[in-house]
Amino acid sequence: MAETIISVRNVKKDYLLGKTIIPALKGISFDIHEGEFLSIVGPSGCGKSTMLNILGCIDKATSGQVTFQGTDLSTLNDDQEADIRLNKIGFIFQSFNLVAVLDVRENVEFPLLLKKVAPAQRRKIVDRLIDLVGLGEFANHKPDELSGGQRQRVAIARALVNSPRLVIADEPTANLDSDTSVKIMEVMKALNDHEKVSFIFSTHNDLIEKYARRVIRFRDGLIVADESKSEG
Amino acid sequence: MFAKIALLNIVKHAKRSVVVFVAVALAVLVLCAVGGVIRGISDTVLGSIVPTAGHIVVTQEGAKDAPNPYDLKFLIPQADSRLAGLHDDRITVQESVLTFTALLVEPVGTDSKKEARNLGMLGQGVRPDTRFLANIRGGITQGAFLPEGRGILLSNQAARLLGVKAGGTVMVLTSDRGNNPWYQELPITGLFTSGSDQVDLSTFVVSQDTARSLVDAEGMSREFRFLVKDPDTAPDVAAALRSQLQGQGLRVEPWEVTFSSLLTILQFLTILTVIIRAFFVVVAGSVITNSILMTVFERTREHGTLRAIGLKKRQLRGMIVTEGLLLGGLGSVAGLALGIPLVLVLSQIGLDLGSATESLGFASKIYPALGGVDLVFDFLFGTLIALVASLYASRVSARRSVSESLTHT
Repeated sequence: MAETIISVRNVKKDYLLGKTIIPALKGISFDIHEGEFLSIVGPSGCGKSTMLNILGCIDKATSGQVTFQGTDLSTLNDDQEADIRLNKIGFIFQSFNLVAVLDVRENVEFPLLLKKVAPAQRRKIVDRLIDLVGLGEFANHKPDELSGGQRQRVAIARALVNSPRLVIADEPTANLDSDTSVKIMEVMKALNDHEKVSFIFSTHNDLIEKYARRVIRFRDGLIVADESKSEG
Repeated sequence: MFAKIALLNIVKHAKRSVVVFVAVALAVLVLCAVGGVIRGISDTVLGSIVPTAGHIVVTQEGAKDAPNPYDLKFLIPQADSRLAGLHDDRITVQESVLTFTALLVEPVGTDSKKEARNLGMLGQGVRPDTRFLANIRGGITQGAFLPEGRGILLSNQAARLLGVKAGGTVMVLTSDRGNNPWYQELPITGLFTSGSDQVDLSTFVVSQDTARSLVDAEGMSREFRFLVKDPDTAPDVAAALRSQLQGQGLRVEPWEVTFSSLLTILQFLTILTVIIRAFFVVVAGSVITNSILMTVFERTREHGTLRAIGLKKRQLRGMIVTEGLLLGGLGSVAGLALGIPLVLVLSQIGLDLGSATESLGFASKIYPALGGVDLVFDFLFGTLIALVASLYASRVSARRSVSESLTHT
């Protein structure tokens, strides 16, 4: 059995809308193991993004427990959460969230600057990742000079730059056409296969869902199914 | 690292950086220029007092409070010898001056049908090499300040009103100490423009000898005027002179006392300038603050992204503050780099404020001046406002949760 990276136990998340409490997650429990290629699927508003934000230390659960490699995330202060985001988790956003004024190389390099990695080492890591996602010839392009698929590849490279144990992707193909979506999924799958990076991604696209080796189905803030497949 | 990322942000967000940079530079430029004008007004006021009347003035007791301070009964007898007997190492210039009232009349000769134009004025009888009346000495437009012999120096305005010209003559009507009318026809040896309409229309200059002959006051003067090395010592020097002149019926006053009303105006001007400066500080501060807040809050989603990939709160704060500080500092330097030459140019060509200063009795043209303290203030102002604004913006940005920042619209 592979090592458990994340353990989620009875996690609830409520949002306050004026005086109304909106329950987004109503008691979620599951584990994520090393090397998994896992998809959270479900209709819009079912709590997928909320769950991923909590797993990625971007948001906090209202109650319940999330442990990352044995560390209870609810006990972490802001700096410790930032450290986990920087060193252990890569995050890929639906709308890419690249820094518009930085070129491909600089976007990928930014987390390494935060880690104070030496320039030569930075260059080596960034070059390798840009090649890995097939953007070698676009290294000096700004995000607005790239297609949606290329931008998402930059985001993937950025998410991988600090060699995280886990990459969380919130609907990474939602803003892409079918062909590009397939290509992005193949990049992620290849990284999972060859770099041994665990991926957890959300989608409501059946085509994308098929790539996952394990699918957790959400509906109305609850898990309705947790299915593992022998082949993605 | 903050500086590196901040510099990267400044360069990469060039348009936003330019907005803040220009806002700071303009604010500092305006402050620098306003400060220069304010200092120029202040210098003009003080500059009108000292070069005209000196740091210390000695007059006959009672003259100042008399209904007619120019009454000839207040002349100081044996003026030259008494002035020569006064000594103090702190004095640099000491002169006697004979001020008197006169009616200047256009000479019409034998043309009895022509009505002679006339102008009531104040005559200044001074030494030809006087160190006083700087505004007149510096404003000669024709001829010389005073000739060795008889002659009169008039303003261009007075000459125009009297219908006389340089090289011509003018009748000077006075009364002697016995109140007997007296006149002399004097050649106009020079014309001046002092920069103040009030001075131009009220003052003419003759040599002290001519003045004495006009009012039949041989060896007499209206007052003694002194300049001292350090203006702050004027009260002490006045006290020393007072003891030397004890029992002679003379009144010794430092310029602060003589021109107390002018100093009140100066104090009023100072308060006014502080208010004007404060107004500009508030306006400029608002411009800088708004531009910084705008450029920081515009990037809330970007800040959310950076935090989502590992930027810590304090790193975000440091990055925003460093950017603000760099732009504030550079903008302030640029503002001063533009402001200083502007003030220097204005200090040469002058600014004509017209009736604004004329009504207060000073020259209408003021010459802006630079002050070291003002420049330091302007620089610190631009930099510190940018710092405070970016501190506030960084605090607000860092207090937002990552998810809130990421969904910020």
